[in-house]
Amino acid sequence: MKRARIIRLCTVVLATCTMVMACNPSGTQPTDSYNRKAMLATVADSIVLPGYSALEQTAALLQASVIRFSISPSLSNLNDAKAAWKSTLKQWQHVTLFDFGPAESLYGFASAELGTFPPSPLKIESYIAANDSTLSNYDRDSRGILGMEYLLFHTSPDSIIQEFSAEPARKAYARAVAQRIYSECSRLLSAWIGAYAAQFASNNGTDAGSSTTLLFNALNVSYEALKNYKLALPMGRRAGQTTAQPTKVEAYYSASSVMSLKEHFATIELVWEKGFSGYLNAVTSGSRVATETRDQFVKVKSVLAQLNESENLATLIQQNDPRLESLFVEMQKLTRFLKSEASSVLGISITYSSGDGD
Amino acid sequence: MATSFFQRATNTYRYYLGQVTSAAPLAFMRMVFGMLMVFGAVRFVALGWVEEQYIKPIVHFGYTGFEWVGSVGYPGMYIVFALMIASAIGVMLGAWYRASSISFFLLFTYVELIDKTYYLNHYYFVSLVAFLFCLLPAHRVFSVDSLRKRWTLNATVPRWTVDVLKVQICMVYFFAGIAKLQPDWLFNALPLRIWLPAHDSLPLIGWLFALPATAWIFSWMGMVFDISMPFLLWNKRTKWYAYAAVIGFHTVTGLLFQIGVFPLVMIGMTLVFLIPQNFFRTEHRALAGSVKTIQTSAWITPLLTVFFVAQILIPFRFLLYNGDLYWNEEGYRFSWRVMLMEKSGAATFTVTDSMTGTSGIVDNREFLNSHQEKQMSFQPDMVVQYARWLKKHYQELGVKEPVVTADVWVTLNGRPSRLLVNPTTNLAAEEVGWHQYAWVLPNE
Repeated sequence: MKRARIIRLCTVVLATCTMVMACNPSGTQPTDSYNRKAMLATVADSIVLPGYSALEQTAALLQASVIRFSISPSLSNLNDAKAAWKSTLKQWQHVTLFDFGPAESLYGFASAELGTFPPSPLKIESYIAANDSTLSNYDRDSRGILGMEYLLFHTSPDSIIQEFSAEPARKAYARAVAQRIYSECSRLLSAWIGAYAAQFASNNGTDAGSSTTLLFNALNVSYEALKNYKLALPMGRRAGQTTAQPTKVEAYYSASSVMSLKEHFATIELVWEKGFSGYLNAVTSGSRVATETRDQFVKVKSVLAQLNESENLATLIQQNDPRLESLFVEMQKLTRFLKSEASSVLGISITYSSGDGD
Repeated sequence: MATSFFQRATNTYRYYLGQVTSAAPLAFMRMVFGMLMVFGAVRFVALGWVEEQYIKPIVHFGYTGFEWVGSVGYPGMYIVFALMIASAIGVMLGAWYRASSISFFLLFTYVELIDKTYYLNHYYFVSLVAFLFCLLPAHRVFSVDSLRKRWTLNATVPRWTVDVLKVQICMVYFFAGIAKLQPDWLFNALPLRIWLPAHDSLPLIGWLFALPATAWIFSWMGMVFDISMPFLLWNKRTKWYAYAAVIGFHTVTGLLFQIGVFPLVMIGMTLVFLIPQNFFRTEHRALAGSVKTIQTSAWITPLLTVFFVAQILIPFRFLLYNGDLYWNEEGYRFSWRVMLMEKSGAATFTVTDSMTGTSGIVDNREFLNSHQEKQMSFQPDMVVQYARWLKKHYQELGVKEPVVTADVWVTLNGRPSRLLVNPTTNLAAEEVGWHQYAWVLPNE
């Protein structure tokens, strides 16, 4: 009797072990109803890799032109540097969303290292005054793409040329900032080419830490940052603000904020369309969410289309331009589709990176 | 007639209270529970969750009546967990058992009370079982105490001490089962129809989850499993099959869903139905002189009656409220409603200075971690708790008389989003408690 019990207990334990091992995700080729691997590969191959590749090229041009300008501070060299900077800003908007994997390092996120805004003139000028171009500090608002903007755009071209001619420390600082931008972009590109693109596509589960979840969260974080910090904050629409703060727009000195806003939003839409839209159409209730989300994307885009890239966002904010209010309202409406509806029907909202569910 | 029935019942109960059983199974369950709790707490610390959930957050969502319970921060929370682990080891080894079991119960429950964001039914279960162990003589054999103090050693314990653990486990399954008796679960296979296909990349069994029928089969099987488990586990002839089902069920759900140690806890604790009386051959050891009758205190019966009756009533408290339980969640927690709905929300708060009329939106990520934001975004009481916190915060920043309103769009089981709370209500002026929440909009 006793032995029979022990045998039964052992059988149960063995059966458990077998089940656990049978289900252990290792090596075997998964069968898919929706091919998430293909979706991830599409995002990597058609958005991320070309994006970083273009960014690396413009960052290289930027660095070269900043060096040329620092050697011979002429108007034409300044204009070259400004043009290269503007392409860099544009390309940056195409990849700022992918703030995970290689973009997450021990010292923080690439979006902070490259994209912090507004830059702090105070910090930049004090580093220059101290002849400190090591950039070994956590003052992200003293460098990056928008720090570079300050150096090239903060005053009239004549004065910029004058500053660069007179101050060797400024030249060194500008070169260091350009160098850091280039090395960061080049590091990100090599990391994606090297191994991460393949790793990204093959990590095709839906648990916390899977690429689908990473990409989904990154898309949301990036969208909220766009809405809250590139639009709501300068408009004075953040809680606790008493007035608009138009100088806090991204790319204030070069007045390229509208371009930057449009490019950033276009990337979010592109990732949505190439990535999640098709996935949604393959799941329960998903096609409804996909359609409603696309409708809202169209509404935001139609308001964005009314803004011209030659217009200065800071000025529009000062003038209380009604187009901005409707942009804000439509962007606000898009949030729930991106944030809760899609994640809910995709079944990826029940995963947490810090805790369990039940 | 009535008197004699009452007397017979009383006699039967007295007789039952006097029955004894081997002390070994209870001691074994003590070790299993202690071990699971050591593992669970060490895992929690190792994953960095003490930091993430209890040290870093600047906002905590307290329970009604326990809002005063707060985090003790750093390094306090680590000390709490160190003591909790030490207590669990004490329980496992039966060392200073009373002190260990009481301290484990208090520390574990304290941590759970800090923030309802992290509420899980299995944490509630652990708190209840930990409470029971405080009352049970689970250290009479195979314990440090029985070596330390010879008089502790005893070969038998009252039978009820093992039975209460069984009753507690049956509660979990039974209520989890009847909670599944609702249209979405049974007739729409929701939310499993949403959740299962996301697991189609699991090796070997993944393809199953891509099949539409699987969600239906799982829904019905889950319901039948939960409801029948108490009966099948208690029945001598079926208990082994039931236990195999327990292992299968919890293994599969453990693989599919991020539910932490819950499957292990249930697989471990249901052993109480299987463990044979003579598992440790206690009778044959040096126990000859150690068979004493442990007196059951008079207060045990009323205490446990209240304990279990409350557990039976609490899941039904939702009947006191109007509206859809899944929507307003009034009476949702502490009811073994496990993985019953896919609910998700997007909450945008607006703070308006009622003096100047200027208003602005809140970036929730500034104040809440992602787990807190997710949970808050669809639970009405948390929405109000957060609104009240925002009011206080912006008052400190100089906003005069802040009015806090929110657009909270919630989707339930994949249906189109609807507004959860009245977008014109000043949520910061509302209270959280036992009353019907007037600010919650109906789900219809």
